[in-house]
Amino acid sequence: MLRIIVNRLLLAIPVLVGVTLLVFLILHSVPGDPVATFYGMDLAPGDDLEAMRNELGLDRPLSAQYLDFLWQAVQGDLGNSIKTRRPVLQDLSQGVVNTAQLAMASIFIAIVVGMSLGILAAYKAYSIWDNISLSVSLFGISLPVFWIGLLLIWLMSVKLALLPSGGKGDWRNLILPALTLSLASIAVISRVTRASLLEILNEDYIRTARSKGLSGLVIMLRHTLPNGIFPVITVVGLQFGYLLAGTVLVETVFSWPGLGRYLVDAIKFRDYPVVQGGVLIVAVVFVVINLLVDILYYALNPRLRTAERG
Amino acid sequence: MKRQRWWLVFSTMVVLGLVLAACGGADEPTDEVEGQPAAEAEQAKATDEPAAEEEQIVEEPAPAAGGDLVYALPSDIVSFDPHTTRETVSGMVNSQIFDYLTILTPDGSVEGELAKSWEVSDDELTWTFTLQEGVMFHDGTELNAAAIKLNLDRVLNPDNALPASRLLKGITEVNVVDDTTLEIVTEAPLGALLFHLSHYSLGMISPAALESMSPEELAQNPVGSGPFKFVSYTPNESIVLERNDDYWGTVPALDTVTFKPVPEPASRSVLIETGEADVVTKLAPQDVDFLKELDGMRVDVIPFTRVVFIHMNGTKAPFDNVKVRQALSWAVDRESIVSNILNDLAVVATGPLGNGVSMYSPTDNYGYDPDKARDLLAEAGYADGFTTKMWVPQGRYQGAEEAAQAVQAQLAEVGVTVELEVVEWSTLLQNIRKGPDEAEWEMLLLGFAPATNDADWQLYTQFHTDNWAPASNNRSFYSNPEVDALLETGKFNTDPAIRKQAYAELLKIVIADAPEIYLYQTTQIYGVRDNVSGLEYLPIDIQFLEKVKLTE
Amino acid sequence: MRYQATDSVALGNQLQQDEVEFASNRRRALRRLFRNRMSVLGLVIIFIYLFAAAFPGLLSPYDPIKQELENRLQPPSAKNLMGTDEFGRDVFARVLYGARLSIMVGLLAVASGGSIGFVIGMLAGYFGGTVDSVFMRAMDILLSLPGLILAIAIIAALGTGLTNVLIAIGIYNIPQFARMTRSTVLAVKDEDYVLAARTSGNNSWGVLVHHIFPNVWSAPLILATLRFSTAILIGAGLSFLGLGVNPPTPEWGAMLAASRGYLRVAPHLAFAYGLVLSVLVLGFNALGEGLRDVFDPRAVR
Repeated sequence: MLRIIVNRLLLAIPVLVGVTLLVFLILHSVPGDPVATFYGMDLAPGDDLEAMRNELGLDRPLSAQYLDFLWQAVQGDLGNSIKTRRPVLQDLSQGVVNTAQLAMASIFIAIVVGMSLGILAAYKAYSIWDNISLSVSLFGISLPVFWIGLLLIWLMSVKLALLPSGGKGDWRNLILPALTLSLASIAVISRVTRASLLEILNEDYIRTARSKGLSGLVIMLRHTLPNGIFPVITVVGLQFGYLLAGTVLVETVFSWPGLGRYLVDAIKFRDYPVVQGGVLIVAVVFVVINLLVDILYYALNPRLRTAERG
Repeated sequence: MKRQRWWLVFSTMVVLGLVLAACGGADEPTDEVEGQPAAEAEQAKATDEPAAEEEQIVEEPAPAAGGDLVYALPSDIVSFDPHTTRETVSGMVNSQIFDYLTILTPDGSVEGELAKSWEVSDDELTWTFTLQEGVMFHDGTELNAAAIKLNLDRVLNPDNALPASRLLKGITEVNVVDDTTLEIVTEAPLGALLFHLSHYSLGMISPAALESMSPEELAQNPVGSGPFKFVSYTPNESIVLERNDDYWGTVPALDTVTFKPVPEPASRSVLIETGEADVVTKLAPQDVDFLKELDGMRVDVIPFTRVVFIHMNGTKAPFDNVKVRQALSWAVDRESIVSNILNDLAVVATGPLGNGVSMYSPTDNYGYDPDKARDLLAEAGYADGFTTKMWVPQGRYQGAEEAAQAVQAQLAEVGVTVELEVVEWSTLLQNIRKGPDEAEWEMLLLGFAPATNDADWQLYTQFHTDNWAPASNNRSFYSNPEVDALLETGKFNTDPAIRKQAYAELLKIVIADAPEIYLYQTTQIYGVRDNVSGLEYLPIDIQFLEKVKLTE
Repeated sequence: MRYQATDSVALGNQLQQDEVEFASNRRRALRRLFRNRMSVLGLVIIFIYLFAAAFPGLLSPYDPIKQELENRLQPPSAKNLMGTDEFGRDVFARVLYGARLSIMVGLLAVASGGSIGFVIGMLAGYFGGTVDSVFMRAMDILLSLPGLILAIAIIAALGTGLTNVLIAIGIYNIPQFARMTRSTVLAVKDEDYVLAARTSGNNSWGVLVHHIFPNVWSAPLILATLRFSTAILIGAGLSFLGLGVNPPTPEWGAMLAASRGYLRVAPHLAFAYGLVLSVLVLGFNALGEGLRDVFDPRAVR
C-alpha cells in the first residue's frame, strides 16, 4: 500500500513539472504581456516598459525564468502578482478554499440526488421512473451551466426572493451555485450508479437472496448497493476533481470569489506568476484527489489490492 | 427495453422546456415595452430621467442612520497604493481613503481639497499652494507640506517607475515653504496642472507608511487622510471601509462602506433589483428599461466624457486618402446606433472630445449621408468599395461590440466590406503598441475619456505628430502642423480663454481631416436603491461617498 | 464540461470485454441499433439538424446577418418564427445557418482531437513500456489542467475566431480518447487471435491495423457522440467569457452567450438558442446512450 502511494507520488512529479512547463510555454507565446497590460493605453513610454520588464526579470531567457519559478515553487514561494503586487500564494489559497467549499457542497448534492436517481432507475429498471431519471440526466448534461445559473437566479432570487443571487456569505449563498454546478455530476453519477447496480443484480448471490423471498428494496439496499458502489466512488472522486477545476463559469455568474475566476482574470491580464501558481495548485489538488480515490478504492475492495492498474 | 421510453424522454424534455419558457414569459412590464417600437418607448422614458435625478440631489434626507453602504463594482481592486493606480475601480476605492491637493466637482471643474488656495507667478512657472491646517493621516501622522512633497517626489522619482508620474510631467521641483505652504515649479507653463493634481492616482499617503513599508505592503495597506479608513480586503469578495470620525472635512454619515466586485452585468442588475446592493455601477444598457419600472430603486444615467470612435490607419491605403476617410464618416448612421443599439443611453458624438470635458466646444460631426459617401468613394477611385478589417476590443466599452456590428452593416451599404475581429484586451494592447511601419490595424475601435477631465490630457496624445504610436495614442498616424501648434498653445498656457480658443479651432480642423470616425459619447449607468441619498457623480465614473446617507 | 474523463473510464470498462463479441456480431448489432428507440430518436434528431444545416435557405427566406435595427428584440411572430435578436436579425435564420457552423465545430473538434487521441491510445496500449509512459504522462498533463482553463490559454495564444476555437476544443479532447482507447487495446492485446497474429510473423503495424483496430474503434466512436455535445457547450462557455468566434458569425455558442444579456427583456432569445442547442445535444446523447445499450449486452434483456 505504502509503496503504491510513494510510487504514485513519484509519478506525479513529472506531471506537475510538465503542466507548469506547458502553461509557461503557452503563456509566453501569447501576444501581450503583463507589463503592456499594466500600463494600459493612456501612456506608452517604451523606456518605462523596458524598465519594468527588467525589474520583473521578464527580459531574461525563458529557460532561466522557468527554472527560477520551479526553484522558488519548491521552496513554497509562488512570487508576487504583477498586477496587484500581492503574494500569489496568499490570494490563491483564499480562492482554493472558496472553490473547495463550492465543490464540496455540489458534490454532496450530486451524490445524494445522483445516487438516488441511479438507485431508483436500477430498482425500477425500464419503468417510467427509469425514464424520468434518464431524462433528468440528459437534461443535466445538455444545458450550458451559465444559462441554467441565470435562470435559477431569476427564479429563486428575483421572482421568489428566496435566496441571494450571488457573492459569498452564509450557507444560503452557497445553494444556487452549488446546485448549478452539480447538475452535470448528478447526471454522470446517476448513470454510473444505475449501470453498476444492474450488473450486480444479475449476480448469483442476488438471485439467491431473491429466491429466499427478501423484498426488492432490502436486496437493493443491503446486498446490491454495498457491492455496486466501487465504480460510483471512482466517479465521485473524478467528478470532485472536475468540480474543483471547472467552476469558472459558475463563479462568474454567481460572483463567487473562487480559484477559477481568479485564474481567468490572470490569464486575461497575462499575470504570469498567478497563472503559473494557480495551475500548479490545481494540478497538485488533482493528483492528491486521484490518489485519495485510489486509496479509498483499494481500501474498500481487498480483491483489487493485487490487481494491476489499467 | 420498453417501447415508450424514447418518447417519454422527449416529452419530458419538451414539458420542462415549456415550463421554463412560461417562467420567462411572465416578465410582464418589460415584455410590453418590448412590443412597442423601441424608439418611442425610449423617448417616453428619457424625458423624465433628468428631473428624477435632480430631485434626488436636492432632497433633504432623514436624520443620518449610519449603516453599511453596499456598492457593487464591475471588477476587483488592483492596488491600494494610489500612485500605481490606473483604472477607475481602484480609483473609486482609493478616492474614499485618500485626500488630494485638488479634486473634480460634479460639474467637471476643479477645486481645492488639501489645497485651500493657490497662486501662479507672473512667468506662469511657479505655483504656490496654501494648505488646509490640522489634517491628520489615519495613523496619526500630520499632513503638512513636507508630507505632500514626499508623496510628489516619490511619484516624480524615475527609479520608482510609478504610473502616476505621467501626470506630473513638466514639474521640475517641489518645495516646502513652511508647514502649510507648498511650491511647485514647472519647466513650462502648464495649463492643466490643477486638473492633473486632481487625478485619482495622486492621493497622499502617510509619510510614516511610505518610509516603513515596501511597495508590496503599500499595495495592501492604505494609510491616507480621507473620510473613510481601510478595514479589510478579501480578494474577489469584498473591501470594507469605515468612517473616519476625525476627518477634517465633512465627516461621513455612513458607518461603513462595503465594495463588492461583481463582474457579470446581469448579476449586478439582480443585486440592485433584490436590494442586496445599495449602489451598482455599469449596468447593461438593455437592462435599464425594466429596472426603471421597479419600485424601491432608481436608475441614474450620468453623461460620461468617453467618446467611442474608430481609428483609420492613415499610413495604409485607402485610408491615406482624406476622401475615403470622409466617406466612411458620412456612411455611419450614428442616430440609429444610439437609439437602436444603445437604447438612447448614449449621445451622438460631436467630435473627438466629449461634452463635459474642460475646454470642450461644440462642433459639427458628420451626419448620415450614404449617397455622399458613395460619391466621395467614387471620387477617390473606390467606386466599387474595398475590403478592410476592424479590430474591436472585447468587453471594454459600453455597447462597442454591438455598435461595431452596426457600423459593419452600414459600411456594407456603401460597398465597404469590413471584417470584424473582436480582440481580447491584453492582446490588443500589445498589438496596438506599434509604430507606423509595423502597425497591422486598418480600422481600430477605441474609446477615450480624459481621466483629468481636461482636453489636453486626451487631445495631445491623440493628435500630436510626436505622439504617433508606439510613443502614445496617435494611432491614426495623423499629422497636421497646424494642429500640432494649436495643441502646444493649449498645453503651455495657463489662461483658460486662450486655451479654449485654441481647442475650438483644433477640433474643427481635425473633424475636417477625419482621421477617425466619431461614433458616440457613453453614459455611466448606476442603479441606486431609494434609501440612498446624497450621491454626487463626478464626470469620470467616481463618487465621493462622504455625503451619502442611508435612510430607512 | 466535467464528466468526460468519467465517461471514458466508465465506457472503457464497460466496453472492453464487448469488443470481441462485437467484431463477430457487427451486423446483428447494427440491426439492434436500428431497433433501439434511444438511438433512433438520436438519429432522427441529428438527421433533422443535418438537413437544416445543409439547406438553411429552403427553410427560411431571411439573411442571418442582415440587420434591421428598427425591428430588434421582437418576440416570435408569424413573420419571424423565433423573433428577432438584438440587431433585428431573424433568429430562426440564424439558428438554421448557425446549425452548419455549430455542428461543424462539434464534429471537427471531436473528430480531430478524437483521432489524435485514438492513435496515441493505440500506440500506448499496444507497445507499452516507454512509449506508454511517455504518452500517458503527457495525457496526464493535459488532464490535470482544468479543461476550460486550457482552452482559454490556447485561445489567448492563438486569438479568437472559429479555427482557434476548434483547435482549443480539439486539444481538449485528446486525452479522453487516448485513455479510453488505450484501456480497450490493453484488453484486446492478449486475446488469442491477436497473440496468434503476432506469433505468426506479422509485424507490429500489421497487427495494429488488421487485428487490433477492427476491435477497438467502436468505443471511441460512442465516446465521440457524447463528446460532441461537450464540444458545443465548451464553445458556448468560451463565448460566455468573450473568447468565442467573431461576430457576426452565427454560431450557437456565441449566440447563446450574447442572449444572456437579454434574458430579462427578450427571454425568447435565450430560450430559442438554448432549446435548439439542447435538443441537438440531447440527440447526440440519446444516440450515445442507445449505442451503449446495444453494445452492452448486460443492459439488454
